[in-house]
Amino acid sequence: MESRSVEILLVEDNPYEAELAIRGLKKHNFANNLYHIDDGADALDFIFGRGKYADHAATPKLILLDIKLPRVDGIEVLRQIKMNEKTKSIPVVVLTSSKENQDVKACYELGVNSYIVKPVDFDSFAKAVAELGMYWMLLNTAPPR
Amino acid sequence: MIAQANQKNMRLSFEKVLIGFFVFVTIAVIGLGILNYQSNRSYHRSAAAVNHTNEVLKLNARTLSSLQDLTVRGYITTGDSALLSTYLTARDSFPSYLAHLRQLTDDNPEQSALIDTLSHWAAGREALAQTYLAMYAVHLLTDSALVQYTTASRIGLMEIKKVSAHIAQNEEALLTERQALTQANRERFDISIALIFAVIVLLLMGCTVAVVHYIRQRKRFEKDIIQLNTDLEKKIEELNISNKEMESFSYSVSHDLRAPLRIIDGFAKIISDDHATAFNEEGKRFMDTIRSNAQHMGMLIDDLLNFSRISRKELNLREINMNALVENVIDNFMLMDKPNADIKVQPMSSAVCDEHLIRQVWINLLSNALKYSRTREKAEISISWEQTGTETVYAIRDNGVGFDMQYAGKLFGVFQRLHKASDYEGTGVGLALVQRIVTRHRGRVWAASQPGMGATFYFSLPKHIK
Repeated sequence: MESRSVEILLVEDNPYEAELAIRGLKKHNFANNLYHIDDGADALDFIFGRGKYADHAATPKLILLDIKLPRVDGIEVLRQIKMNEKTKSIPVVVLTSSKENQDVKACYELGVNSYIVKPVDFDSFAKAVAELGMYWMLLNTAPPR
Repeated sequence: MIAQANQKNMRLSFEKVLIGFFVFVTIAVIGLGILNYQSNRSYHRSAAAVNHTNEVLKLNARTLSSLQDLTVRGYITTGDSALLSTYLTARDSFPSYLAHLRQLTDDNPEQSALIDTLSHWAAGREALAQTYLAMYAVHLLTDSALVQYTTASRIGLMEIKKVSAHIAQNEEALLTERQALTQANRERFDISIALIFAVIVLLLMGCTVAVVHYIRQRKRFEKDIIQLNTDLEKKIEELNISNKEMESFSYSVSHDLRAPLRIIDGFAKIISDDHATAFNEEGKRFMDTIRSNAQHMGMLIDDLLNFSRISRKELNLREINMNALVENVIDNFMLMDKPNADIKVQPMSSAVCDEHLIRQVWINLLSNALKYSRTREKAEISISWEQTGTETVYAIRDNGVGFDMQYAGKLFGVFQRLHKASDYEGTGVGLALVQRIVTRHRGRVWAASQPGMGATFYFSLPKHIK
């Protein structure tokens, strides 16, 4: 996949969770230009065009980020995105199971654009994923490049 | 523990010894005080007796000298009137000397007898002197008469001297005896003073030992207290650590348990949606069972986490408008669930409590009331309150299915349910949460009902929470 065309970057370590999210987005045709990464460090490499992604300059329109990730956790990924002049305007939506106040607080302090707690009920989850795709990809006006 | 017990025994025995010591010192001081008082009195008495004896001796000597002067021999020999006046002085004074002497020794029969003898000789000597003075006055005194007088006077004086010497000798003996007694009393007094001094020194030593002991004990206690404080701080730190562990535990539960449930539910849904044709009706029902149970477990996890979070949350107490809070909760229910219900609220005064938590109490109680009244044509719910001396009691009454009071004890337990899950949905955490919140406010929760006759739930908040 040509990373330049990536519109949604999904960072999620659980392949089944990822599959369900992708399925939810696909139903509404948001998954055509979706790229899935299952590791925090790889996600950073992808976003900043380093390591194995050195050849690709990728600027997704939306990043869906889980908090619990191998190697580098979601909060650290969020911090690096929001501290970098080039990437801080990319909308980041944290999509997680954690309702813990400490996580919510940390994410908002770092400037997260949305914090979604994944419902256990798949119907609600699918609805939430579809709605956030709708909102960020269609309704929201992206920052000028 | 054993060391502490020993220390306690040691302290007890030390205290016993100390009390014994002070009792001994007190008795010794009282005893020595009495001894000292008595020996002092005896000393003064015997010293007075010595003085008395000395006085008797002096008076005896003076009496003797006066009786020696009781003679007219010099005057009638020479005619010197100065010698006559010596005689006259002696004549006037000796009876009073004798009387005084008798008075001083009247407690001593031997001396009294001697003084009688002395008086007898003195009277004889005076009569002799009177006789010869009278003869001299009428010039009838012959030389032979003068010799006679001289002889008689000498013999009398010799007897007088003998008696006087005897008196003096007796008194001297008394004096020696009394001086010895005085000396003995004096020594007794000195010894008692020395003993009192020794006891005082002993007392001071005892006090010093006690003070040193108690200072050491106090220091030891201070050290113990510091140690206990350190232990307590360590315990608090351990408690904080276990609290943090508890938090991270619920964090993991929150995050890690929900994901697999969502995946189970999600894939079951995908099967139902995309592969429905591969299943018969029973297969579809099984799939729905998998989904509804996964969803139920999700709710259980959420409710339990909520329960543990609220249990740990610190109370944020302030005065709140209870009426506004209840009306707001009711409005939200009416807006969200649109129940067919008539809810009456008695006007309430404000209360001091944690607004967020008490809101949860009203939400849970109201949703319960609505849930168990929904089989009624119209749910009738009334909220009232009452102020007693120590607390404010709130009541929420419904006209629902009610419950058997036999099971009232189970009502507020976690995961306890009095109705079948197939009849009334829910996790059985709601009332447990109500109880936890009210208990944290130091209030009480209870309920009253009859099956089919509706139920009334009560909770109270104390007047002074802190």
